[in-house]
Amino acid sequence: MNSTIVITADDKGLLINKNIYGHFSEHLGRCIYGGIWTGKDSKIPNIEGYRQDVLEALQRIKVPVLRWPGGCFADEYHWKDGIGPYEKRPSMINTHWGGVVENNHFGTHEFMRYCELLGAEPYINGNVGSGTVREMSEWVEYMTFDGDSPMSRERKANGRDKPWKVKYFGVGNENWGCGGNMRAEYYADVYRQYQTYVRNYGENKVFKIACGTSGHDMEWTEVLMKQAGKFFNGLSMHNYTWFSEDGTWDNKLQATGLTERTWAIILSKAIEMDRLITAHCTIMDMYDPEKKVDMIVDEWGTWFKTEPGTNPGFLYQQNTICDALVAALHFHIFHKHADRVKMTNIAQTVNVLQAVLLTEGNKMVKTPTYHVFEMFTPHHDAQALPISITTDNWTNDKYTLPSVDASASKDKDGVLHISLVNLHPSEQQNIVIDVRGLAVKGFGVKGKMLAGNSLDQHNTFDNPDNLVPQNMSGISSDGTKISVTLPARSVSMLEVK
Amino acid sequence: MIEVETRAGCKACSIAPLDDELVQSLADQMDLMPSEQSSPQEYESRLSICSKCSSFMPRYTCLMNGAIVHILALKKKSVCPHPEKLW
Repeated sequence: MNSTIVITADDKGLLINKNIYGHFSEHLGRCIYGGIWTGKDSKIPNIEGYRQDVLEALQRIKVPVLRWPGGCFADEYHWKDGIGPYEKRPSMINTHWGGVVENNHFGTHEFMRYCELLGAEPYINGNVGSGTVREMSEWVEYMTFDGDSPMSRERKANGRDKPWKVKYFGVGNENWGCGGNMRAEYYADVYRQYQTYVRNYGENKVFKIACGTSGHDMEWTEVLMKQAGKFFNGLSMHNYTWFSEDGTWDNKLQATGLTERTWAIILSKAIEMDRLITAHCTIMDMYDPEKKVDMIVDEWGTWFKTEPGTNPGFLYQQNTICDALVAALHFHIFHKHADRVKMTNIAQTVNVLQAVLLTEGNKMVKTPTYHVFEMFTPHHDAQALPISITTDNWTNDKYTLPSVDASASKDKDGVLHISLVNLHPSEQQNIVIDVRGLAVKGFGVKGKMLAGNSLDQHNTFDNPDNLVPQNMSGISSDGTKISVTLPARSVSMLEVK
Repeated sequence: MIEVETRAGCKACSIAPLDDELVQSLADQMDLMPSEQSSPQEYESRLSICSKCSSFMPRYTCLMNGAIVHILALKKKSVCPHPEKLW
């Protein structure tokens, strides 16, 4: 099958905010404990208590922003439990996720230090569902106040003299559900109240993020924009890619064992993100035509049935070439909406849902999703370029999808990057890319490719490099056009200069 | 008395907490052949070691790999995920 892509390289496009490649780490299952944090006394190699292999892998993909501590956990998290000497930090039961003991050893100081080690902006999600206005206000004061106050004195007593910079702060999470079962009208008022006391101290300016919709609830977005839109900088949205034959949550598909039909379904569900963003942005445009409010997609990714034999509350799932395509398609959609979508956070970083890394004891594997994050780093803070794709559609059951999807950007040095997805489960695609307006005559092209030899090829602890990016061969260029063949089930990234 | 809804709409809220009945159900779903199961002695020995491990989160979970230890111990070919391979 043949496809044609036209890229206008001399057009000044939208900036792809690097925070689109952000992450989300919740106190859930083994994301924090066992994934990010082992403690200093662990037999697993660590740096200051942070798991070394995970830290180094995340540094490599340049995580720009990290959301913490939840998620649902955020609305039961009391930050004062997570500061001071470990022996004085109370243990609690993580009622949302697995009913396991949370010893609070990973708290504010540990999170902020982790962000420093990663070079990531912290995105703290505050507790509205079961926390007080005072509690939230004091957390911001504790972290960012540079003068003398009870909170800043306590911070200093706990070993941190200088305040941290905290730009992103979420006022509640899923307050329509686990965050308090609120109606939109009620949450809009509660949001207005809580945010009043999320103060800017010194040079720290807080970017306030309100809880947004579950994806399909348009009324929530409209009420929030109408009643509280002047009080937030960002409005969140959560949407997961999942499917079950009977429509029930309990009978979701397993990550592995996909058929061509379920492959088509999962990719169709992933592409729904485009329609959802368009719909919510239309509402946001009504109340905010100047686009002062950003859309923050702070939870997205696949949600499959947990791996057999694991704690269902830990949300541990495998990650295959299908997840890699889901990730790439999401990024292309986010690029397309870069005028409104300024941050997204994949759920979640390690060991939970569409994780980029999986750990077991002292072993770690990079998932296919990880490799997409790494391949796509050239898109960070680059300018999205206008792109036109002509491709055949393919159909399985009632699901119709394009064969090829693509996105292009130009970095600050003028280097062009083109990411390509072949969605077809079994057929390769011959592509001709017409690059117009590139100020380089006779440009050269090279590329990396992640291609599955089956619908669910994945990496395991015994075979961690089963699916890794390969250098592309067979790319030809006449100086203005590029010809490339994409194997079925693949994600590729071309560099043109 | 009718049990009223306390939570609605959130995906997390639909996850039932682990108890003996659920663990048994999840073990049954593994559908292990007798030849794939460890012996009763091996099973008890493994569980005994797990129960003393610092990575065991009572009453069911191994924090090294997220497994339900009763199922981990039951599968003959399982390997302890602890870096020191405790069994």
